[in-house]
Amino acid sequence: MTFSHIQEKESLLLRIVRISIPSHRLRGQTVQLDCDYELGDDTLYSVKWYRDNEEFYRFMPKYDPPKHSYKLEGIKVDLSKSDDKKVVLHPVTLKSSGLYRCEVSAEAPSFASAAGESKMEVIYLPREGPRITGNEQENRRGDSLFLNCTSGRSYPATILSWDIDGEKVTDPKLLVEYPPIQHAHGLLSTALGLRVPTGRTMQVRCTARVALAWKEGSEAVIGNSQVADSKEAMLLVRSSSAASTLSIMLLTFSVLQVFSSFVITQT
Amino acid sequence: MALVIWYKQGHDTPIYTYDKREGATSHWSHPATLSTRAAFRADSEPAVLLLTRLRAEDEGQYRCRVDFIRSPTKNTRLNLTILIPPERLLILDERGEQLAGVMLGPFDEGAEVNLTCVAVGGRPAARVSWWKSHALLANSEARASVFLTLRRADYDSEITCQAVTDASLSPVSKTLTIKVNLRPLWVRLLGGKRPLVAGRRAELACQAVGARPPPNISWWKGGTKLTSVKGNISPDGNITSSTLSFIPSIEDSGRVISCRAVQPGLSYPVREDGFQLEIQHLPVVKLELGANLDASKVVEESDVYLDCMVRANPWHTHVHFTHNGATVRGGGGVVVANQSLVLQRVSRRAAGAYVCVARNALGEGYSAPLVLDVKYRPRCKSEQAVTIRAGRGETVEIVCDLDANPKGPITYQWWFNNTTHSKIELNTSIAQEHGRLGRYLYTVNTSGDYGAVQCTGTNSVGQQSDSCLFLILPAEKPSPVNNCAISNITEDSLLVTCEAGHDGGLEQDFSLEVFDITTGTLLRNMSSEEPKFAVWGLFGDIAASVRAHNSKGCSEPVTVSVSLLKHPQQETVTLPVRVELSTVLATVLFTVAGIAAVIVVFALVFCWKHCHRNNDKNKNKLKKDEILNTPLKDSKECESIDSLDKNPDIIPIENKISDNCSTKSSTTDYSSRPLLSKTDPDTYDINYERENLNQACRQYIQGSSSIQWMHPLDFRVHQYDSNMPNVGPNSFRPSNLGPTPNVGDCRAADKFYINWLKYKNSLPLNTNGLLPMEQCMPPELYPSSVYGTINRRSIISRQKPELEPCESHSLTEYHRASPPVRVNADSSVYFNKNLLRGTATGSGTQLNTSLPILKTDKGITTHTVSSECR
Repeated sequence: MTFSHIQEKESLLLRIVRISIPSHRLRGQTVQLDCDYELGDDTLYSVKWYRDNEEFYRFMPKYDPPKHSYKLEGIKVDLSKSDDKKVVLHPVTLKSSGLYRCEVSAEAPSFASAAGESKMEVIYLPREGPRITGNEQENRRGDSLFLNCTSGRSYPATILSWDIDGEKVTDPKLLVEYPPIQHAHGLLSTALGLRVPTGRTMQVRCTARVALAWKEGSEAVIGNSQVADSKEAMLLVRSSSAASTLSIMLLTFSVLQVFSSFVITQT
Repeated sequence: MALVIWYKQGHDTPIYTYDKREGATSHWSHPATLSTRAAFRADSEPAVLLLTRLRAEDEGQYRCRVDFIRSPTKNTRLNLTILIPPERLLILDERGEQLAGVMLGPFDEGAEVNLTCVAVGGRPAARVSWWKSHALLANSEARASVFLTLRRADYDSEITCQAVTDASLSPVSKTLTIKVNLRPLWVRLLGGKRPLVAGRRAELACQAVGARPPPNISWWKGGTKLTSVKGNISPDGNITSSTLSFIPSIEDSGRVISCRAVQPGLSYPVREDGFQLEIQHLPVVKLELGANLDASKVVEESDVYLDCMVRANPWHTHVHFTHNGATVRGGGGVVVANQSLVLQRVSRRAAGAYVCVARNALGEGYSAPLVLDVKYRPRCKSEQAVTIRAGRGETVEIVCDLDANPKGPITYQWWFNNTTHSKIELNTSIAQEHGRLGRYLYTVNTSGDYGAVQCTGTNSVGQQSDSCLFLILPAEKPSPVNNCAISNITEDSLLVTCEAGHDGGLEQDFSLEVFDITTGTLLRNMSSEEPKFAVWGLFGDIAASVRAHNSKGCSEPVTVSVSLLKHPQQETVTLPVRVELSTVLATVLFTVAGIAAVIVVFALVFCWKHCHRNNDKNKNKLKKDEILNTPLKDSKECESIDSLDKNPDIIPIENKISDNCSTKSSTTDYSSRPLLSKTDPDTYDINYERENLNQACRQYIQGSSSIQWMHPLDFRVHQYDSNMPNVGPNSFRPSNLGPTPNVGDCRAADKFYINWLKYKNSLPLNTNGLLPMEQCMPPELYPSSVYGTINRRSIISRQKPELEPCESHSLTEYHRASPPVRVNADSSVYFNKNLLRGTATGSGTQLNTSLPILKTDKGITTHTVSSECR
């Protein structure tokens, strides 16, 4: 009852009830953008969709045809599946990312308008896990070990982090950052160096994460678009017999990589 | 373009729409938000939404959405910021109190001022800054504070608070004028210290420079505020000047004169400039009698010291003394030493006004006159013996006229001696009876009373050393005149001139009677003080008879006869006739002479009786005068009764007033007294004596009716009586004189003298050769013998038979029948010739031929006729 009452009261004005825009989408997927509104006492004049303030679709009942799309880079509207309350993009590319906005306007004389907007990002996950590499000669000579972790190509850039014995390394003295490396189609790869103090055996791990894997809140909103892409490389370091230890560690890394590939293939 | 929609952030609905889809263009404006204040102009490039009468709530984000028919919609966003300048600026002082007005202060120099400028209202918050001239003092948001230390240079400068909201808006500002009270940079008495001259107007100027507000400048002398001040403020207000005009006095010396600048209402101390006055002045001189000297006790022969005290700036260089205006020179008992004057053994001439004169660079200063009064014992005013003639039985008043200082009280002593008597003291109680000191009534009873009377006075200084001498001599009648001659004969006039004979010891005058010879009629009767007569209005043959008179009587007449010139048409007839004494004529003459002798005898008898009677009358008159206390100073001239005795050996002492005067002038300087002409006294004396005597006598006779004679002009204008038939230039005797013309009191002499002086002084005199009045003493001061001498000069004393004084009774009768007289304005008198002639016609030469004749070259005959007292 209470709900319907509010509906009645608010029916006097045009309003956006809900818009649904996924925050992340993998490249090549289809996306449907929903814009639910109530006209109230007004008649509909237009429904306009903007990406980054540029109109790419409109629905104007007085026009013939009422649906019309404009060409924008990375936008390909499926007019058949779009109508006055939704628009379907297929497929999405990395350039489809942006702020999507739906604006509904009533007919004269009030021309009351309501709008809702949300960001959508199109991502590309790396095909392979992070790789740990090291300079053996330098490691033997000094009292510390230097390792590099390199990600696979992705969009947006992969974020790398190191763990030593399960503890995340946050000390900037131990970490060496490198600028991302540009690849074709706008893909990026990243690397992160680690200085490891020698003298004991330890387990080091490099973890690669892509895009908004940490955006828990948005996952909830986005729902089905949740991506948890995390790949790890582990290495065991021993100071007494460096060569043998290194080989074992590389083995471990391989095992993990196989497992990781398996997981990705499954999804 | 089909549709333009304007949105404003915060509004659900558009605020403005412009719809062109249907062909017709429609505008819509949100009534509550924009209403009529908005208008969309699509025709401008770019199209604009014009907002007017902006409000603060118009601020915000606006979006313009343009829908095209085919093209994609365009959305443009813009932010509108509404700028609101501050409503006002508040200036607060350090206590947070708001300053009103545009004036800051006034503050005293050096004051510290903290000001805060606050911009009230406005959006966004304005930038507030303080400016002084072009210098930025402070700058901050919404409010700015400045700290000032006020200096002289800040006077009237401006300080501005400015609030800037945006560069597009004109700033709000408020300017204050700083008012600083400035103390004078200096207060200066211009010219500095300088000496001033007492009595000379001095102007001093004072300036106060650089003071604000302009100070009041006051002038002070000692503790006294001076008021004769003129103030002035320069146009820029920087210089306040004041000029003092004042006349310094000697007393100002040493006082401080200052000008004082006070700024009203300010706490500054008074600023002052001044100096100690140095007053230059003429010497201030004070002359004092020397110490231990009593001014009232300076007597002759004592020593006197005068001390002169001088105060002068600049210092005096010279001091001298004057006595009665003449500079005192040393020598002869006078010593001028430094600033003192020593008078040794002073004489009475040393009395008078002494002035000390000191000179400095500014001039001479004079002391007040110190009048030295030298006391001396009495001395006789007349150095010679005074002759007094008196008849036997007559009482004369002897005046012992003394010069003394003090003049009173004087005690007198009188003595008498002659050849038979040795010196005996006279009883002074006789003199005291009349209450008149210095006068003695001396009665000649016997011939033994003739001799010398002496008087001696004693005053507080001492007794007179040389007594005054009076010679009491018998009096007598005058002698007949001598050497009579007629001259200046015309058809109707002639001049009779004789030499006077001896006056008998008394003053004499002369009478003339003119007869028609043919008829014997008395034509004219006139008198004169000199035996000289001019007669007009006659014709034909006449006889003129001249007689001398004094108080003792008259002399025998001397008669001359003459024929006047004929009128031109009758000239041939009236040629002078030489009479030849033929026998016939001789007999006739003798006959006539015989008749005449008879007549003369009769006349003598008659005259003797008559004169005797008159003599009695005169005696009575004199007594009456004495009772009236009329002063009889000039007893010599005025005494009418004389002894019948005569003393031909006594000749009056020759002296002249003028000599007296000149003698005095040589010894005494009277320059400080009123001046009289030096040349006039002689003239005056003669006129005066003549006039005065007659008038004085008349006054005596007529009693109190003498006022008219007091008029000074009377001395110059001859007095004529309208009834008088014949008046000559030498005749001063009015016709209405009584029968005793020479008798009278000479008291009036003083008055006449004084009046004459007045008159004299009123005349426009040539002041060259003037002498002070004192040179000619008043008549009463002259020795009585002097008067006598003047009136009786060049007289040869002759012995004559004693005759009674004569007077003609027919004189008054004749006056009644006198012909009409015309009196002209010049006081000349003319007689009607025809009338006179008519009475005498036809009686031409009859008398002339019958009388003994002394021929003259002009045919004038003179003959002496025996005494003709009628």
